[in-house]
Amino acid sequence: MDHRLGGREGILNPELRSRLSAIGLASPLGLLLLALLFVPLGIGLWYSFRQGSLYGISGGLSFDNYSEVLGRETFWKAIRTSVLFGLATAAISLVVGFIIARYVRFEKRTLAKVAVAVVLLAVFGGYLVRIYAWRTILGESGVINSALTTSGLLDEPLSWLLFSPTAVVLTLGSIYAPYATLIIMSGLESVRDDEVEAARDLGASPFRVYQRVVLPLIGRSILLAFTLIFLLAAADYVIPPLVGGPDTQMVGVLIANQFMATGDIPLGAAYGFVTLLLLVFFGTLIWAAMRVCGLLPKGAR
Amino acid sequence: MARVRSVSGKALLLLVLFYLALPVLVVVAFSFQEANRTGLPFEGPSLRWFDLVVSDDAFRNALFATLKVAAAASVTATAIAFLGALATARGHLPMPGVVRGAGLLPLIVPPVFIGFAMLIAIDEFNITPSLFTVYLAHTLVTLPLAWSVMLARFDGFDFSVEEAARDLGAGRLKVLSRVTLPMTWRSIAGATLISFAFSVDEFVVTNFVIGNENTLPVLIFSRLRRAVDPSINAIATLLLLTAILAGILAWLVMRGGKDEEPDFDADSNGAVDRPAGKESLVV
Repeated sequence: MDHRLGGREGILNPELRSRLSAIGLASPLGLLLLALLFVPLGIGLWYSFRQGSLYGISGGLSFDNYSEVLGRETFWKAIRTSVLFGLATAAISLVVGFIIARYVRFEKRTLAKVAVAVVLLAVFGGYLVRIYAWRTILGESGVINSALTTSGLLDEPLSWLLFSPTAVVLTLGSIYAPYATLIIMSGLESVRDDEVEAARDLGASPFRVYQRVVLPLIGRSILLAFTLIFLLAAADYVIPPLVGGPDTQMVGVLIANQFMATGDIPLGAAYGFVTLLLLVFFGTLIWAAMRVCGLLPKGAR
Repeated sequence: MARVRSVSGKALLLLVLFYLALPVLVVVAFSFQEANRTGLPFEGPSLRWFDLVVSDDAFRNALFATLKVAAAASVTATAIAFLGALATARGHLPMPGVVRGAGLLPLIVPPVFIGFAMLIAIDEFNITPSLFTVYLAHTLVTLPLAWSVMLARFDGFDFSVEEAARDLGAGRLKVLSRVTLPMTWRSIAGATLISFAFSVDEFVVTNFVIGNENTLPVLIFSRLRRAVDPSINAIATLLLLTAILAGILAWLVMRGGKDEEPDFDADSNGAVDRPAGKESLVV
């Protein structure tokens, strides 16, 4: 026992020792991120400057891929669509998230527990599964149309339900809104009852309470939810081809196609990095805009 | 007035809950449909598609692959998150803020970028895409979940207990096995189960790195592109069941008390019970 106690204080001074052991404990995390995230992104960046052809990838570095990407009309159209759909999805997610989170936080009823259960069901409840479900719901022989035609309300099925921008945004919203709900729930958690009561006692109407007390207090959560959902939704590559139509080409699809179909990997990498840069730029823009609009005052949580 | 507000608030709530739950309900309901289509009127119930699916070798292989990858990835991610969060919360780590954020990065970088970057790296190092590369990818993308659960746990951890054990002569390993692990096992189990549920469902990154293998989501995707195939409903229902079971288990295990510590401020503000750590999925 004694010698072990002594050994612990041994050669190195205790502070250096505990610092080294902390670094040792955290090193698997660092290695994982390095090997599986940073190195692959770095190699991808390097590839984006190389040339791809049918015969393989040649070594010479140039900006050719980037000028090709930036010169393509389809790319800019896809970016516009992605940003638009990303914003719409983020907005829908915030509204859905706030309605649920508000109820769960301030109304202590059974329905609140049901709401939490539904959100958790949606979070764990299958990405592809739910995309497929929307196809089933909106399709020409799907739930809505077969209900309308068999009940005699319509003679012909509505063909515009599926493969439309509405279908894409509806699906994106149902996939990403549960995450926004979790974020806003955690934000509302930190709003104390006495803060709300104080405002009410001072005569604020329920609307004023939200406007002046609750929303400013959870500004950070709202901002985080909006930006994160925007990024994830704008970069989605699975949903647009499955439920969208000719006008819903999103930028993630352009990237994925380079890797899955066309096979020009360096060009695909260039698509990817331009997109990443643009999305981060738009994300920062949103952040800045909301800060200017005063959605994130001092003391926000 | 107040009554009108509360009724309209409830109606709105039910509407958005319907929006979130509808797709799941539709898939589950139609997996019991007898007819060879997925529309109304509903015929059934029947287990026809489940019979077809469970005797299908492609399904069985994909299910087995999914479980294997999810088990390995969730355990690896949780172990890494456990060690890192322990070090971060103890407070001897340089730049703890950066480390905290870094653990969340794989969640913030949209998965399509992670996917294509990993595909390129795999190609560059001449690795064959396989379930092993899927395992690596899933370890990365489930890490932020395990990370936020473990960080939340260790942020509320009383490290003086560890010190007391060491002063009494316990070695590092003994402190870990007799003090730290018993005090945090609920969060560890919760983090593993949440990561597991996420891995079972992961498709966006998997699709890039899987090569010729199949996991359940990849199998569903390949059948989605064919004509009407109601067996997808049954596969999807079984996939849902797997993920949701893991989710419920995580909720139960993390709800069952904040590990072995007294919970002084339990429900003081009357908030609805939530699993420990859930509220900090985002730090």
